[in-house]
Amino acid sequence: MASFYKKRNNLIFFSIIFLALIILPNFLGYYQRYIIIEMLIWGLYALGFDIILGYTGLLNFGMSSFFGIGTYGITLSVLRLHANLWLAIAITILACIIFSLVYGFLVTRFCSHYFVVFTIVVSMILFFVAMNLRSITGGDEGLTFPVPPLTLGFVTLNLKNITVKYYFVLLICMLVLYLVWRFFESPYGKAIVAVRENEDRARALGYNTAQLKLVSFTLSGTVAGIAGGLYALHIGFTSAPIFFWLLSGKAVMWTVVGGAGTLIGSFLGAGILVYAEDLISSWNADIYPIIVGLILIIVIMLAPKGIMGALKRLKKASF
Amino acid sequence: MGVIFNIEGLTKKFGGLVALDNVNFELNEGELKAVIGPNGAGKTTLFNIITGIYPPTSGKIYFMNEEITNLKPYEICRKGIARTYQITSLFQNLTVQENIRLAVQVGYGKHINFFKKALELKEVINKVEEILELMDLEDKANVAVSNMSHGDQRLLEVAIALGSNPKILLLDEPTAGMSIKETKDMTNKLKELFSTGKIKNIIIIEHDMEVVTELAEKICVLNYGKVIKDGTVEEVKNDPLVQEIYLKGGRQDAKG
Repeated sequence: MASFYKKRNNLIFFSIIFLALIILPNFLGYYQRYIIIEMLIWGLYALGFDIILGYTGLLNFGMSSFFGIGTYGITLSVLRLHANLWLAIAITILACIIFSLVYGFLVTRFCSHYFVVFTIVVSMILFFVAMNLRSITGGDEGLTFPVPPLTLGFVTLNLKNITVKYYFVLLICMLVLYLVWRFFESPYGKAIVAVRENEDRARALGYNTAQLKLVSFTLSGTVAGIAGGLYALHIGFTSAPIFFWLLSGKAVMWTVVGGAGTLIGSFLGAGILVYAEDLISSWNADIYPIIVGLILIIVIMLAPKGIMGALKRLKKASF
Repeated sequence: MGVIFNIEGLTKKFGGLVALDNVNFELNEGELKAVIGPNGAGKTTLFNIITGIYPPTSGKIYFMNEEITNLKPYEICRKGIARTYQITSLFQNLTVQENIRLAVQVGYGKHINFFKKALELKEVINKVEEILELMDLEDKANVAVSNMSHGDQRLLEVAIALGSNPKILLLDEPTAGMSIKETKDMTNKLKELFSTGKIKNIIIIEHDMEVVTELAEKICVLNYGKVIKDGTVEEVKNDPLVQEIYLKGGRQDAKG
C-alpha cells in the first residue's frame, strides 16, 4: 500500500512541474525564457553524464567531447551539407552514436582511475585538434550558421522565435528524459545498475558486462550529444573551446549537486546552478566561482547524495 | 548416472607458486560432492578456474560432454554453472528482491529487453517469489542488502545462485563466519534443496567436517594443490594420509 501511494505522489509531482514548464513562458519575458532554455539544455547534458556516473558507476571526465560532437554535428551539416533541420538532427545523432561506440569500445576496458584518465586525455586531444583544424571547425573564432526552420508537414516555424524554440527544446528534453527513464526501468537497464553495484558478481551471474558498459557509454554520449545539438540550434554558433575540460567539470558539478543516479537530479542541479550563475554574474562577475565552490562543499558535506538524495531522506522521515 | 562434469589434468601456476597440480575431478549426475583441504590447498582457486575467472595453465574442463575451459565467466554461467562466494559478494545498495531478480532475469534469458519494465516480466517475478519463499527471505524482500545480518546475506548468496537456474551449484564455504545455529540452519536448508531436487548437482567447499559429513556423499581432499584422496565419506575418513593432514596438521578448526 505504501509503495502505491509513493508512486502516485511522484506522478503528481512530475505532472505539476511539467504543466508549470508548459504554462510558464506565457508569464515570462524574453530573457527569462532564454534562461530556462539554457537550464533545460544543460540539464539534458548533465543527464547524459548521470547515465554513465550515476547508473554505471564510471566517472567520465570528458563529457565535453560528446557535447562538442553534437554542436559540430548540427553546425557542419547545416553549413556544409545544407541539410534541413530533421536531416541535421539525424546526422548529429548518428555521428554521436558512432563516435561513442568506437570511443566506448576502447575505453570501457579500463576501470576506475584508468578510465578517468583516458577520458580526460581524449577530451584534451579533441580540444587541441578542434582548435588547430581552423578550416573545418573555425578554431576559437568558431562558426556561425543560419538556424534552419522547423517544418512539420505544411507548417513552418522559425526556431529563432523564442516561444517556438522554448517548446521545441522542452519537448526534446522531456522525450529524452522519458526514454532514458524507461530504459533504466527495463531489465537491460537494471542490469547496468548491477554492473555499478558489483561488476564481478554481475559477470558471474551471466551478464556480459563489457557489452552493458558499452551500451550505457553510448547512450550517455548520445544524450550529451543531443544536448550539444540543441545548444548549437539555440545560439546559432559553435566554436572549438566547447571541447575544453571546463565543460566536463560542469557536468560533474551539476550532477553531483542535483543527485547522481536519479535522472531528475541532473536537471535540478543544472537548473539551480545555471540560474545562480546568471543571477550572481549580473551582480558581480568575479564572485560566482567562489559561491559555486561553497555550494559544492555544503552539498558534499550535508547531502552527499545531492539535492534529490536529501529530498528522498526528508520524505522518508516525514512519512 | 553419467558423469556430468569432469576436470582433466588441471594445473594452475601463479608465477612460481603451483596452486593446483594436475587435478582430476569428476561429478556424477545427482551427486553432492565436497572439496576439503587445509587453508591454501587451492579449493577456491579451483572454483575460480571452473567459473572462468582465471585461465588454467594447462588441463581441460568438461561440462555435459562439452569443453568449457576457456569460456568467459558469463558464458559459463549461462551454460548452467552458478557459484556462491566465500566472501559475500552481493549488490549491496539494492534490495533482496532486486538482487534475486537480477539473477533470475538473465538466468531465464529475459534480460535483453528494452521495451518492457523489469517489474512487468511475470515469469521473472513469479520465479523471484518462489526463490524468496524457498530461502525463507519473503519478509525481507524489500530490505536493502547492506541492512541485513551476515547470516541473511549468506542465505541471499545461495538464493542469487539459484536464480541463475543452474545445473551445477558451486558453494564456496556457505557457512563461513556463521554462528553455530546459523550453520545448522544453512546445512538443513542445503540438505532440503538437494533432497527435494531443487538443485540436483552440488560441489561444496567446506571446512566444517560436521557440515561435510552431514551433506556430502563423496569427498575430494586437496592439499597443496594436489588431490590426495577422492572417494566416499568412509573411505576418506579412514585414509591415513588424510588423517595425518587433518589431525596432526592441527588445522581442522581453521576457518577462513
